[in-house]
Amino acid sequence: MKTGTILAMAGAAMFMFGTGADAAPKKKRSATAAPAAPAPAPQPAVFVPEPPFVPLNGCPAPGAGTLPAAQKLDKKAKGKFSLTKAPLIATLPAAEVCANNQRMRSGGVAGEASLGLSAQVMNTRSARLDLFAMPATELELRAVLDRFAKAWPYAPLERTPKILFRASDAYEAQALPDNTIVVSLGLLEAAESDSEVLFVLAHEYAHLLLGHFTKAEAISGAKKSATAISQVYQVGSFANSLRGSGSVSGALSNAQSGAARSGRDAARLSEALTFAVDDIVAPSWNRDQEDQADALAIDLLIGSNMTIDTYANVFARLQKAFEAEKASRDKREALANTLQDSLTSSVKSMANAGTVTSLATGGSISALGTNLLKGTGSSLLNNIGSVTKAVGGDTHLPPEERRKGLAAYYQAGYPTADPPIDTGAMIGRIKANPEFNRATMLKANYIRARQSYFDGNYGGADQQLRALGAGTRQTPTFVNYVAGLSARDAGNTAMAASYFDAGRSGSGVQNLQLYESYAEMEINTRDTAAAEAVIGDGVAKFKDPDHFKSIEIKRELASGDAAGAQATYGQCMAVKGRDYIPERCKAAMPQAAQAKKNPLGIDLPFGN
Amino acid sequence: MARVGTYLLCIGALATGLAMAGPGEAKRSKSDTASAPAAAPYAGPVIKAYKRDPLPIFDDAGDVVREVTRGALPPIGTEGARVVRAKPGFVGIMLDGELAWLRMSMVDYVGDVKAIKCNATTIEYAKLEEEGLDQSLGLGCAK
Repeated sequence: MKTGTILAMAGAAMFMFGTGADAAPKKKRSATAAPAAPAPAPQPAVFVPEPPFVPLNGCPAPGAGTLPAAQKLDKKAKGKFSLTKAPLIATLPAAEVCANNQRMRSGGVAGEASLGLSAQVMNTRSARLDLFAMPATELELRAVLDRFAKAWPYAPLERTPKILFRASDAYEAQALPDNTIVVSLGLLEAAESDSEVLFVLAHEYAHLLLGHFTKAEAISGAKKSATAISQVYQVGSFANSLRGSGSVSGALSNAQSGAARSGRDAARLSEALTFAVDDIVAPSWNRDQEDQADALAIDLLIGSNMTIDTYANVFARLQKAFEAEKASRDKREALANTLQDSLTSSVKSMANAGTVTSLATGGSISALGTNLLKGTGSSLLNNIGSVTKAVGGDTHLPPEERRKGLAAYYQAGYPTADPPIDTGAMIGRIKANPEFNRATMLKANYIRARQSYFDGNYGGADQQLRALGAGTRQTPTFVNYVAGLSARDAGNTAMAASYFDAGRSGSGVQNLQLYESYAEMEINTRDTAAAEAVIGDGVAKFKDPDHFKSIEIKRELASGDAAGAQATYGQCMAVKGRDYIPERCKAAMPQAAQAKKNPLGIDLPFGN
Repeated sequence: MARVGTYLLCIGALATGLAMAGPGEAKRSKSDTASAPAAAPYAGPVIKAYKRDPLPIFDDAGDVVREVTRGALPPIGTEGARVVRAKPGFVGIMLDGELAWLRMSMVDYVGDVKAIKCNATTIEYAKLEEEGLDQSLGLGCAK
């Protein structure tokens, strides 16, 4: 790669975090640590002020006659669209909106768990996404949200949502319960008119206004997926354990080398799945909530005198993707089967009793114990199918049906509306801003680098990620995270630690997964003190000690503190409302899970 | 129609490519089109929904010239509902042998939207993430 290209890429990575390329503190180990990326050219900083707090005074409600009277939708025209009257904004019960608003302000569903739902979602979804800031674009879009707020006569959000961007080609947007809206760069790239972007923003904003995060159905998806999540983490932890031992023993037999290779393969696949888990674990809207968000989006657009000319393009793009997905269902199943075969093959190899015993007695993983490995391997062999099969499923109305329903909704609710013409001015400004080009370059290069990592080309991934600023605090956290994974898998834990440290001390959007991977790496290299520091930092930053319980158990087992592990396990089993946490603790300490099933303490044979 | 392919345009792209007028200038751009060269012929997908009944028909200047009841309009999804012209805010269909401009906010019409750009990684993860992407707007990649 030419130096000029590298410099350009580094510049692209840095633009959102100002200037200066001070490297992260290096660990004191012997380090073939990565040199910091070259200092980028200074970029003009765009300051995005924190949106002000908006108090909730009383329970606001629309004045009489300020909203159009609700009309019935044509039953035949609306099809499967769930709303029967339009506009929705004229039919909402103010008291219920207020109650939901207050719950959102207090962090989510009271009594679901010790941690509010808001923080749960943040720690399981946004904290795992490859997010970054685009200040100029955020300022442009925040002005739109401020206009929506003026068109909303009910309880206001406690602040105008922050807008973050995802380094992804996917056509997607998400609302998060802390009043953050995430827009993928792929969506902005695809948008060819203002109405598309405005509709998407209004749709996500509507989810927040309607307090959908406070509805019970929003967390049902996570419960369904708890087992799959647990197994994904079992694969990753198990493979990482073996990989750690392989690098230490140094004189592996052919069989052991094969196991180590399988371990690497399984780890890579499990990393792929943990990326997927970002969304699986997160709450899902149900069909009604999705229809409501579509409807309120139209209400907000009309109420704030914004264009709706080509919002149907959003559904057209989604429909294309939907049809392609249906058409490729066989391919998807084939992918799932391949994944399953690979994992099964890897785990079989690793769970071979002789290999495991040999590794466990000669390597550095003895503290974890052969029973743990055997138990984990056996559990995976029995359950691996559900990991891949649990991924997928269509639950929402097809986009074309949503478009039809919304057409009927608009006809019934707005028979005389005359919204302005779509001039394309806003999307034109966004795409003409140099920030946009830098962001698309960053995204493309990051995806390429991530693919190199998944392909096992660690050297290539490292070079590509360093060109994006890996090793510095100013680059997006996900760049340092993947660089850390790549260095770890290449066997250079010192370099990996350097990248992880840069990520956790950096100015990017913090990524909880980085803390988990970092702590696990330290556990596997027997540096349990370092692991404890990383876990402590993660607990402090994410304010979610329960989330780290499973890793804490692993650390305690690795440091020989069986009593401590047992105590933490007990605390973990008491966590309510977040099924994936006890599942992960069971995966971390299958002996305890097995002992509970077998209170007499009889040593059950491998396979139970 | 000769060289139809040459003139295939996406409505959105057309709108984006035109002057960056603010909302206040939108009306002016309507009247500006009266003296502007005729919009490029368009042979794209069809109108998918009429959202007014009766539906206003506009002239080249952007003024309402008449209203047509749903029953007198070509059925949605048929050749008759094919969009033959497009300009910001309006699409044109042939009605009784004459060009009739329809306001885009009163119909559902999508141009030839591009498939979402994907690379192998994105496709792979989009498929893995299908359930998650379903939760809001996205369905990942089309390829």
